[in-house]
Amino acid sequence: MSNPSEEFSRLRQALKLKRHEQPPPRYFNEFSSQVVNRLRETQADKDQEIDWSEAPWLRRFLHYLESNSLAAVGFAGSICALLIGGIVYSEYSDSPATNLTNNNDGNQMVAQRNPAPVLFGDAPADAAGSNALQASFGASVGGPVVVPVSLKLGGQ
Amino acid sequence: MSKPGADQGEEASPRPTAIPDDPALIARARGGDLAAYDTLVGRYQERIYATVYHMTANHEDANDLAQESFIKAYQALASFKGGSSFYTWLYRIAVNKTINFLKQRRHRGHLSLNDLDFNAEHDAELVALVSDKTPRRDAALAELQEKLNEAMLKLSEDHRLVITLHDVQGHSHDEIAEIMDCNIGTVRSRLFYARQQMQGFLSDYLK
Repeated sequence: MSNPSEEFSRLRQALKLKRHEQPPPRYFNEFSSQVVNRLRETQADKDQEIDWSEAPWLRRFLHYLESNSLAAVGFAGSICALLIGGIVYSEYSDSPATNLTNNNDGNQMVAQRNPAPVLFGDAPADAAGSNALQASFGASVGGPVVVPVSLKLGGQ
Repeated sequence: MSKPGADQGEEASPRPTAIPDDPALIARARGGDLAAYDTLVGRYQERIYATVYHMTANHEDANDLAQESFIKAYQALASFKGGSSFYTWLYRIAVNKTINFLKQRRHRGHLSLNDLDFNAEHDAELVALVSDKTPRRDAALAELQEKLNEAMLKLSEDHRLVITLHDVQGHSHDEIAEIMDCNIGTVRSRLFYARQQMQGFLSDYLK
């Protein structure tokens, strides 16, 4: 059994062992040149880097998206939302099923209700009523008339 | 320390009359002279590498961290005011980098120990320490080396650093206080507790 001072002395001796730990032979021969090469590479990378502050706004924007993943996800999400919104909107805007057709007179266009299906339970607009409406618009404007889709034709 | 490859081209160019000191090399390196910085790296590479190696007990990590420390020092040369020696300033960069690395590393890294040099088996104190345990001196030293490094890795980074700088590398308390940016009392206190812990971890080998 050794006393604490002997143990301490032995610890100091044991720690001396670490001074004998040596890296692989000739390791330090290449060390400084590796550091300098890495510095040269870093310098070359810096020289090649584009100064984004002077680049056009689109490049700056793309660079921002590259560096900020959250912004990139948000941007991609908004693009997707716009796309889906556009598709949904186009679907809904087609559903009233109104067609622009040529009038009997030739070059004038009028909105005509699709005969089927009947959405409001009323009778389809008769041709006479439609023509009368078209005529009244045509007289006031003096040109081809496009009736808004939401306008209920036939005087109802 | 002699510069590697210094013999190359000796005949072609005359030998410089005086070895430039640190401030002269630093001034040239600040101006982008990488050859001057290469000389500075060669001057301190062994000590910086050794400190990082004793902190990490891993040659590959020590290699990376030592190189990165020199690169960071070069990039920060403009901020070096000369209040302390370049050597101390460089040490501080390496030590901070190493401590940050060790704190970020989630689990204790695996050992990748360097070989013991030939002189270890002929060191009288080390021989006395292991000779009564086994007739195979080299195996006993290798085992002690592993236990010693494992014990050091159990210490906190600050305690490991103070043991490395004082008991392994032989720095004075003043130098350690400057490197660790603390007062001498703190250095002494950390050294005391670090040694106590080491004695506990290595009690089987020290009796």
